[in-house]
Amino acid sequence: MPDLRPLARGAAGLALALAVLAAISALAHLPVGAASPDGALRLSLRTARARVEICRERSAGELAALPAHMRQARTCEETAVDYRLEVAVDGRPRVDRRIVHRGLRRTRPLVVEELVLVAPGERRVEVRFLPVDPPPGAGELPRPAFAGTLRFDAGRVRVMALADDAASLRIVDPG
Amino acid sequence: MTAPAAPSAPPHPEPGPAGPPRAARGVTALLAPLDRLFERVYGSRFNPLLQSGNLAVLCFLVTLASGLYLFLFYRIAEPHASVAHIQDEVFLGSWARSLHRYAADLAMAATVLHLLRKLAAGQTWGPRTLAWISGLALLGVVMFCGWTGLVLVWDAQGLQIADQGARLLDLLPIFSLPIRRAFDGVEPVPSSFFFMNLFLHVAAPLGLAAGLWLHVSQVARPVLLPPRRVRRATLALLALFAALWPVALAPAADLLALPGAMHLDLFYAFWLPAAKRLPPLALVGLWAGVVALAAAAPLYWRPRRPIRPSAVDEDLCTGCTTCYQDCPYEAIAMVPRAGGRQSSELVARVDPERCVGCGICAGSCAPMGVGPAGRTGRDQLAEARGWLLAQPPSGREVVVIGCRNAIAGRAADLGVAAAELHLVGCAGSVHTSVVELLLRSGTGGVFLLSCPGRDCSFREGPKWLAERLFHGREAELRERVDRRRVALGAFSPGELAAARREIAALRGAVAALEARPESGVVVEPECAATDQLVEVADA
Repeated sequence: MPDLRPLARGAAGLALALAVLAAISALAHLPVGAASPDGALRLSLRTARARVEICRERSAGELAALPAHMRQARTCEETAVDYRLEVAVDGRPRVDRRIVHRGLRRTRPLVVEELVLVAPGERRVEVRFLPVDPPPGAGELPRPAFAGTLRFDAGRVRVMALADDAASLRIVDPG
Repeated sequence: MTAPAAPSAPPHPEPGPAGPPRAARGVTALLAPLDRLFERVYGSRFNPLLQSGNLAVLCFLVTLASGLYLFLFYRIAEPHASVAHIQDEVFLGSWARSLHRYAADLAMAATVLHLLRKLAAGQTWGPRTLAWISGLALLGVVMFCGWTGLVLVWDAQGLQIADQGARLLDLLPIFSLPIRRAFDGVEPVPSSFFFMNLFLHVAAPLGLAAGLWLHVSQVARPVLLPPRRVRRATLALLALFAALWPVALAPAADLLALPGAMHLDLFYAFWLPAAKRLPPLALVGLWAGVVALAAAAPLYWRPRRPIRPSAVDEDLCTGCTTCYQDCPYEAIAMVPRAGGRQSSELVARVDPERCVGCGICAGSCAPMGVGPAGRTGRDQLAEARGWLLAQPPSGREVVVIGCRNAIAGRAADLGVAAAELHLVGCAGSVHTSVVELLLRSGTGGVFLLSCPGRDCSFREGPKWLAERLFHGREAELRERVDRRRVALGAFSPGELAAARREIAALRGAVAALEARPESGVVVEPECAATDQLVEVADA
């Protein structure tokens, strides 16, 4: 092919450069995805009250086995209690799983971050967050739950969180 | 004029430097159509594709300058509102933001192109391992800068990037609360998040500067910016484009909205659609796999044969330092001479760990005492002598000494008979004594064909060759050689038609000259022992 003449070559150079920039601009603003047809319930729960301290009196034999300076008559152990999260929408179970404490030694709070997709409209929602196998002597642990009807809009998220006393669940978004 | 001949093996194939691995052919095939298009329009001299690394640095500087201006008006308490303020009310704000964004996108495109070119050239291993690894690290930092920059805008895309990043970080069992909670909509995102993001976005370029220094630390005279013309054209076009097609501002991030339709920046957020579908561990595994595969390239992306590094004959070395100066990879050091012939206090020494075997030192050494095995000036002269004996010159022919990388299987396009074509590993390794020997023995003309300066596989071959042929740099082509019979051209494989025309022009010029072959030509290395003179019988 013959070489382009200088003027044509300059125009071609400008056109090619602008085409490259246009391509870059287009690739930098690529429309992706589509509006979600569903609504969603986001459960954002956090509680540090699922740790229980269980105390007991040491026996005489146990005390004798300890060095003199460590002979405390009462001993306490802290135990993390796992919880179970159950979510049902219109009576159908959507989530049922055990929630364990965070951290390598499971000494950090219980945290739930769960997104449940829900068809738009009025929906009956039931959520239970219950302790699993609490040890004897653990006392009364919070058992938050929610049962009610919520309205879900397509593409929108309803957010449920623990109330301040961790004893109940509430919707925190403005609706 | 000699009729074009079918390409064939050169009469004396030179043991050239190690070439790219076979696997590189795929990458070369991927780049070839782009190269052809850009070279046709811009020529190899101004082809921006050949300066992808330089272009990335230029774009980085543009983002730095425009980013400093934007920084003045960005507020972490109201991220999206402040960007809207910049866009709508700040003097040149929309233009500066568009320039910032387009330069950042072009920087990413140029960086990836640069990486592909290095893969195609097989420049990932041996002495170039540090440059490869540091280049990958630079790519990572560029990406990180881009991610933090997109989050700063705090639109739907920014929220998605932040959310996915938090999802990955939450895999680490070190946070007492998941970072992702910051985006759950229970409370507004804390401004400390935007402060940290802005800090990282500003601090990361410092890492880029340090990485760039490391990246070029093993080359002499690193060239960081494109030539002035390409530089000005790029800046002008970016500025024009930013003015004509400003970047739109998407609506603010909504924590109570499900991810829906949005505009994705494919250069930085290409992984986002996949990230939403993959579990976080799979995403981390995918990223780790890609990074490990790229970082391990020096182990498997290797040439078909090993590098043969240069060596110095200390008895011949005069300590002139020319090879030390000319080496593009700082692989030669001048060290105190230990014993032996005391012709100089210093003697050159090659570090085989840094030598890429280009042979440019062989072309620089007047006494012909340095070069890769079989490719020193003396080896070249011996080879040329054999060539002359096998193919007595007619006084009309033009011998083409071409860089193998430039011709690369396209010899037929040059219109040169196979017997008149001599391939070398790098044009910069050709010793001028070879040119002198050929011409004084009766060869009509010598055309030296090199890669374009910005696309030289060994960086400075064409530059040093031109200096030695026409500007008196050691080891210079001696004055007694008729310059009318010598030509030098730098062409890429896509420009061989132009090379063919220039060769034909030299052939025409030679035809007009009187053939005057000398008898008993002696071309001797400077300052060499007399018993090592290279004598050539009457051609």
